[in-house]
Amino acid sequence: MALGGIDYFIIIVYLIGTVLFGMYIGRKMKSGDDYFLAGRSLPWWAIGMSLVVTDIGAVDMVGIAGAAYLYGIVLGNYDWLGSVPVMIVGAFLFIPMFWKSKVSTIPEWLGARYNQSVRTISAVIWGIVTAFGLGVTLYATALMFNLLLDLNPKVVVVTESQPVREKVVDATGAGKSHDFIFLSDYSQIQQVIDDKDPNLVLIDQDWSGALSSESAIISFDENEITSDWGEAMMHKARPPTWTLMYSIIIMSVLIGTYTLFGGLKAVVYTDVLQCIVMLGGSLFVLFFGIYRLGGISEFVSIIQSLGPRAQDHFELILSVDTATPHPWSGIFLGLGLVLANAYWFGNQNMVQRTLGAKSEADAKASYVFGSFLKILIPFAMVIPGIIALAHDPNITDADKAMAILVKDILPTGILGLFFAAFLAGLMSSVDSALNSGATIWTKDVYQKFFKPNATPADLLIIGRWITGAMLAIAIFFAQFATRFESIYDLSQTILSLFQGPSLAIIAIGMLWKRATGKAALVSLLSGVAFAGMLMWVNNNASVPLFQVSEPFLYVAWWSFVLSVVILIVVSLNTPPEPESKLKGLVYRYE
Amino acid sequence: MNNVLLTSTALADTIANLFRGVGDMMRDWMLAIPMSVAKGVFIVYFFILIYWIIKLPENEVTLALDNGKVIHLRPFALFSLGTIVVIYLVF
Repeated sequence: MALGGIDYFIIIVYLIGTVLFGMYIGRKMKSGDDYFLAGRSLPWWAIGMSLVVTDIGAVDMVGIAGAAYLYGIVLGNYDWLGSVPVMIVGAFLFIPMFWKSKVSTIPEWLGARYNQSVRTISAVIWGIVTAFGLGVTLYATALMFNLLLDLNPKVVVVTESQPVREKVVDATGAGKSHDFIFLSDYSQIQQVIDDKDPNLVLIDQDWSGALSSESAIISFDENEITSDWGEAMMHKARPPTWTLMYSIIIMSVLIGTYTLFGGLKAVVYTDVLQCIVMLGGSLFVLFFGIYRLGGISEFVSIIQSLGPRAQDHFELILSVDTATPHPWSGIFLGLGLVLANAYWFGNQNMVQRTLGAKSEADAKASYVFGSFLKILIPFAMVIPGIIALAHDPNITDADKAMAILVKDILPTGILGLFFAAFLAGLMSSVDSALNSGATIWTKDVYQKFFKPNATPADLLIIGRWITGAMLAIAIFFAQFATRFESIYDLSQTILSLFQGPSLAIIAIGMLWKRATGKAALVSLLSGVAFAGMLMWVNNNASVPLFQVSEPFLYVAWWSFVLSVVILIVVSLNTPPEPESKLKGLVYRYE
Repeated sequence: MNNVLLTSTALADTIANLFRGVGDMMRDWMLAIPMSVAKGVFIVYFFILIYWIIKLPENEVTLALDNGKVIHLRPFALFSLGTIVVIYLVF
């Protein structure tokens, strides 16, 4: 199913409406506090919806559905274990502490609790991670944007052999940038050329048929398929007229416009709209997808009939020796105890909107409300990935599973609504990362080092400039995301290097008044270095250190453990912080 | 360039070997845990949080809004956690 006129109408109305809505909200912006914290005026329901939709960006819509296509419902752990319980803990323990301290950023809180060195290092790391994460998100966006609008260049492979098809995909390495069309019936080649205008046609025998096309049409033999052959074939292909980068730039301009003008307030209130559209669109895919398969029992039986590759697709808890990157031990220790906590109360992106809450009550209630909404998310993101497997078990690039599913099953009009839902997810993640990244660079770097006496108006101006610069950096990083097999794993890998140590100093610092600034500094640096070393050793040793394919969960866990141990040992061997400094910054120590 | 790669692999192997013994031992230990017990670990974790929510002082879970209304957050938190327990029991 291709997008029809009504689909384009819905998409254009949604995009223009969102941008105008964001600009309208930001029309009275006068100070840095208005821009970064919405003048501390946000209600709980808006923050709660914003939290949820920010967490579910295009990366998740592409990456989680793709991973669920491969591994099944185990991906539901990322919400049911990785969000719901942690948000409840955050609501009653960490979020009120941040709100009451009246800071603008988590590094600023670390500066107040420990010292300015911890604040600066933390700010710089977060600033860089945010920019890189934005790049990954933009890349995911471009993938879906191109696929849904059918903008990817096409490669037609004509062969009856499935192994040969897979060898061609591997050899050309074009699965991310091109759509493959596989044909078995040679009589259909001309029809496909006329309909799809492919950039390259590869046929597995000497072809003497008279084909009329501007495409490169090449015959090949199975025995000649190598990576060099694949590279040579892609050089012969007609150059694409539309690339991922064009899509990235279009999205960046749209999102940048309202974020630049409206700041956090525009981000949160456009997120409310986006939450409704995204949840509605995704849940429609769930129900309509199951309906198209013939009901729940038919859906389950199709998955079970796929044999060993899908035997664990309805298991939330997988064995330690699972072939997936999601063994229960890593999920529980790495995700449940470290990454999830670090994400929900150690990540500026998420915490910032609660700092803009109009009261402590609103800050707490927003996290409880968000936890309730998060229960629904695996039904909207993970199950559709499994539905895509039941719908088409032969998708070569799992990251395209969701897009292929919605294009195949949704009727005109509804497809436009889903596309708007996808854009909603994308925009909410990008606008939030932009705003939080700009806040850190403005408050923790610019104001601290370059202009301590900056007026509120100065901060508003520089905040907008930094927002624009962050977007430019993210566009640059987006080019490199194509090298990784699973974009979701990539973003988690980056976060896992930093989040374990970061969580250690935040959580211990908030719960234990004996933790000292010097210890936090040593703990943070050692933890990040240790996490980096584990990753490096794993990638460079003759035999990988970890036996799971993507060890980010274990890296997060062990770097957290090391950081906690170092923080405690060094704290006990350094002079305690003055009691007066700690009041209001340590749990139940007012 | 090849020498650099060989050196980095050798260094990585040396460091990996330092961790591998302890790591393999812990992995074997985790592997010996039956899956039903592993699922129990998740469920117990959720019940610990439910207990913590129940024991929180009233002033930390009851909030007065600006408009004078009072929100009782405890029931909502317990509902979310209870739903998660059911999900983990089903899957």
